[in-house]
Amino acid sequence: MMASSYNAKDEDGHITVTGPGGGTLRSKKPENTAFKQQRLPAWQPILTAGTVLPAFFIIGLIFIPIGIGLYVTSNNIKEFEVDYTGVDMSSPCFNCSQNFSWNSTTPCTCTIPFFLEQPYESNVFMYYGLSNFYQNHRRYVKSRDDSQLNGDMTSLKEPSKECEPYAYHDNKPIAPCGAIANSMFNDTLELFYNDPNGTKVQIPLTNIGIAWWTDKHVKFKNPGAGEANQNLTAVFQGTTKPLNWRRPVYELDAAANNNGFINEDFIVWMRTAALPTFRKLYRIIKSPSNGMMPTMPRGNYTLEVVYNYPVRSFEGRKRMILSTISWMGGKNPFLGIAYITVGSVCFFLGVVLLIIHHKCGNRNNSADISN
Amino acid sequence: MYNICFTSMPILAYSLLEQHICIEVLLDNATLYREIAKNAVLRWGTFLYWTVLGVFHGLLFFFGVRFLFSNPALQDNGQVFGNWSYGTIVFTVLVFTVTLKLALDTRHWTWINHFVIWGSLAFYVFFSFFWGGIIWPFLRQQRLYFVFANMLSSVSAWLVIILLILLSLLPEILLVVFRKPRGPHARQKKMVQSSVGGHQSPRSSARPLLMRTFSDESNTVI
Repeated sequence: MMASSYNAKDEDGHITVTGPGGGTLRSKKPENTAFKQQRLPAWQPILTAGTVLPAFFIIGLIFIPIGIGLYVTSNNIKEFEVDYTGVDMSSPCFNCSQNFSWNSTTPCTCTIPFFLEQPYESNVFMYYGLSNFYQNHRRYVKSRDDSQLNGDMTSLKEPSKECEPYAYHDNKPIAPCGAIANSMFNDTLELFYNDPNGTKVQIPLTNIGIAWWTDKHVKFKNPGAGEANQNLTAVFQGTTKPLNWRRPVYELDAAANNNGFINEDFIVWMRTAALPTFRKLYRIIKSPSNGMMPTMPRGNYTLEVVYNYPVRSFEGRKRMILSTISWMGGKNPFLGIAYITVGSVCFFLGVVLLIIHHKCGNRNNSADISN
Repeated sequence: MYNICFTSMPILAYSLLEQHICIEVLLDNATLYREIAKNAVLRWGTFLYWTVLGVFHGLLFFFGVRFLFSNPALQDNGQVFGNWSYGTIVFTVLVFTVTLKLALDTRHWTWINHFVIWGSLAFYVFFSFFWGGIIWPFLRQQRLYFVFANMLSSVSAWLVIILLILLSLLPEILLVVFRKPRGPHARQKKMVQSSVGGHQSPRSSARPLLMRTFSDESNTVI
């Protein structure tokens, strides 16, 4: 390095140097700051056995109890499933599943008896499940107009192009537009309990509280929602119902807070599912107020289905699922097993590393001593 | 968003500021620069390692969440998650794994590294809340409205995120443990052993991890 003297630096950071022979040369040396000379104060972690080994043990000791807790919780969740597609000739719903016609005015009903082995306590959640139904298909997921569903009057009359070809019918805009709304699940499921005396008691089903709160109160709004005493039939004047629906959107429910776009069954359906075999929340069976009886005692039950939804054409299946819910959600042993496995692997690795560390450490010490 | 906002700053800071060999050793042994001349570090082995690691991460994230979603009722009120929640869980695990892997690789932590790494993660979380918290007036689709916040309200989602991040970083940690320091660190060891009275810190970083004891502590460079 040639010796040179520093002068005061210019505004642009170049350092003017007086070279041999008297002429001034501009040196391109970077300034002598900590950042530019890579001398910033720094911490250099050195992984030692003392830090890594306890980490493996701690992770193992934390994960295994979590896994056990998850597995035990999942096993304690009670779940019951009834497939009512009607594939077999012996199934009660076989006749309904054949010769389906969208235009038939008399709905087909079928009745399926089942037996609950264990009583179900606290709230029981009733789901409908579909198989081989790809709600996650890209073109299908795009086929909706969220601004129309948010109550925007312009979008109500002019649905977005994403809804094509389910946007207009007979020159009228479809409300709600799109393929997702068009394929809405419209079976009606009812539960009856056959108590030991022989009477058939209908189990009360709650249809409120099944959709996300933010979906129901913020994302989905009926058009003209701000006005008092709105008449939904008048608001939806000039639009037509989706092709596959039997009733228009303003007749989905008699209750005003569950009619129109804010109908909770509709909102639940519009939240597209992730996998081709999925379940969606249909009704909630609230636990009885006296608290002494189980919500669903052990015994014979009957499921009555108004079979509207055709799934045989794409080899799909329909199910009704009754389930209790815990802090981790529904019954799924995967997370418990995964945590137990990973915790055990980490603990085992910790033990292996500890053995290797002792052996290497002893060898190292003996080598030092001999030196 | 991913490439520009969530993951660009940490790697930039790493590339500018990382020193896996300290300045004094480099100044004394200029021949170390021959090891990186003419793109010598771009070997097939390294490339295959990173590719296999990427494939492993991808499979782990996707199928980990897929098995979780075999029952999509992950909230304690019985409500069901959709495909956007699925994608949000996978994306969250991805951003955190990538950033934490870089944090594991960083051997020379300046304040800038701390700032960009933890800042990127914090920015991801805040941005997700922000993006999902408003009904955007100029957008026709409101796909992610409240999806991130709802995902965080589910204990199962938290647990699967922690599990998948840890599982994907486990091979990296194992490699750090089992691999003898190669290349520059091995040379460091040889040079220190050949020179008389070498100082403590390069020697301690040069030993394989399992042979390092409690006396080899992390050091702070001022």
